[in-house]
Amino acid sequence: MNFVTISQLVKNYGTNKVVRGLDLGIRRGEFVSLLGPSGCGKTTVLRMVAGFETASSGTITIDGENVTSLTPAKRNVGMVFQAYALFPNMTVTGNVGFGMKIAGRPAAEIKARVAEMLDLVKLSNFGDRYPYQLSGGQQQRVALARALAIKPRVLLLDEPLSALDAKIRVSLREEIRAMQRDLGITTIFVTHDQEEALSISDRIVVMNAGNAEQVGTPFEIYNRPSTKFVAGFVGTLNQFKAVRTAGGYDIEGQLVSSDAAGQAAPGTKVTLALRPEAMSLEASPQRSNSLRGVIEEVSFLGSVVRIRVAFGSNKASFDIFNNPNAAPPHRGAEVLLHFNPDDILVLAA
Amino acid sequence: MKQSSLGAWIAFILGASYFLIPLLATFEFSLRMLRGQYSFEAYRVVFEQTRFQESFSYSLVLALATVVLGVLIVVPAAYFVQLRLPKLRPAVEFVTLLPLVIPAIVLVFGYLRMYNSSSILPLTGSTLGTDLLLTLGYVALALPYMYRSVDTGLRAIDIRTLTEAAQSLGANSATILFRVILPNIRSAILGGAFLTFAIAIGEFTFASLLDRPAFGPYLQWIGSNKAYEPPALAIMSFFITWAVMGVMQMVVSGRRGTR
Repeated sequence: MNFVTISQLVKNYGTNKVVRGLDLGIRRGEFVSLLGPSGCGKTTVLRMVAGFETASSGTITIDGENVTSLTPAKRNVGMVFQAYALFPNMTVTGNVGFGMKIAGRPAAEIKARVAEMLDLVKLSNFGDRYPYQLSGGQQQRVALARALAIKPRVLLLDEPLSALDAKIRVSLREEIRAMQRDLGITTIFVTHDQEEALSISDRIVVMNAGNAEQVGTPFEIYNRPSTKFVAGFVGTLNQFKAVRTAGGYDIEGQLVSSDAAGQAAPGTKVTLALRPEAMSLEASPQRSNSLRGVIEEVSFLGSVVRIRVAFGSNKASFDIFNNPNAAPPHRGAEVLLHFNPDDILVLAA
Repeated sequence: MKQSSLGAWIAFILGASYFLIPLLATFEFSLRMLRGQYSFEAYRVVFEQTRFQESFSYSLVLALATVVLGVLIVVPAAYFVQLRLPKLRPAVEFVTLLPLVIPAIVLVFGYLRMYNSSSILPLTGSTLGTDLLLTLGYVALALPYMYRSVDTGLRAIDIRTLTEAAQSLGANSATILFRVILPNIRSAILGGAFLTFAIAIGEFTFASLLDRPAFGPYLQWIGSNKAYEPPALAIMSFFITWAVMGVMQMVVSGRRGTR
């Protein structure tokens, strides 16, 4: 049974339809990411769950309670914002204890809970500091502690890592995931960063233009994208224009076999897609398909070398590991790119 | 000395002279009440005057009431306009600027027509009512300064996110306003409050036409009847203003939780 259920959720701003009938069920303790480009409606969905935006239609239930028309203060959800949103006039202790204080909890209980939360986010010695005395990462930890201190039913994370530098971002996301697992709290995470979503989530909802394009585990989303949008948005993808043949596909005169025939009849124009890691310069029994092309660009990136190969008007980029004992292939060289027929994704043309 | 710094010093000395020479001359004149010697006699005389004590206390109370009322009206209004009705902001800004455009004498005659003893709300029919009307008039007069100051303070913090953060923690509107927003715009409120105070403490037109014993009409009376006391009062007013600004600085710099 779902702990959070979003049914036919719609949000319109005048004639602008931002969310178009979203259906989503989230299990208790699950970590679900809403992933999509700017303007896809992911933040609006989160804000409607938090109660900051009113749904034009549809319902949101949390633990069986319909919260669609409740004010944010009555939903008991914890929210962490991109801009930290710590209260500048309060210390770390004041911030973390704020929710319990206004709920009228006893001072001793607040003190114990604040200490517990600060210990959880590894800021036990920072209780007397003000937000401006903390780094961005520390501020976001305090924001997380503050959101968790009230024991919310659902934790909402609105791009909480976007304002942090790359190194802190990676470490904090791992910590957030570990905390979420330890506490078993149902979490909705909004991000436009596919790597973040893939690394942290139980399931990902890929959103586009107010719709959920695909809902699935990171493995499913990455390896089996159901639409061209998902395939293009999540990870790097090489796309080729092709025509369906009886046994496979014709890519500008080169034939490749594939079982991923889809519903296309022979002669139909389709778009084939291949992940860069599915392509290799080396043949193997599994990589029974090959395409002949010309190296157009070679970029040396240190541990890897990025190579772009042109097959007529189609192009593909892929990485090979740097070999200190062998120079990378050079521009203009003719190469054969090998790949497994099973790795071909067929997208609508 | 470099030529550029010499120019800067000349500009500074000219500017300082513009303000300080009249002040020093006024101060020097205020000390000459006793013939042939400098003394603080004029100050002693002023302090001993019952009318000074009464008018100053009266204006002090009214000025403080104006500050409190102004803060209670302007802060929630500016907060909700910025948070919920941002499209109304230009209209609200225009309205708040009207007291600068409409002369005080026009405003007070408007009040007299609206609230005279034969009107639906006869505020001028009683002393307390007239005092209330005077306070409300001062709030209107100080509106441009108080609103701008508070509005600037609100723009300096992300009130939407702070509000939402507090809401998600279970806070209602009053809690958010008084425990989250107000403390974070304290310096802006103080700035507006002291400007309001400065306007209300020496205001003449409203108090005179509503016939209230305020400090402004007293200053006018003493200025037209005495020689040495007016400059003494001017110097005292100057120091009261600086004292108030000093208090403001102390409170603001002593404010915790901000850079």
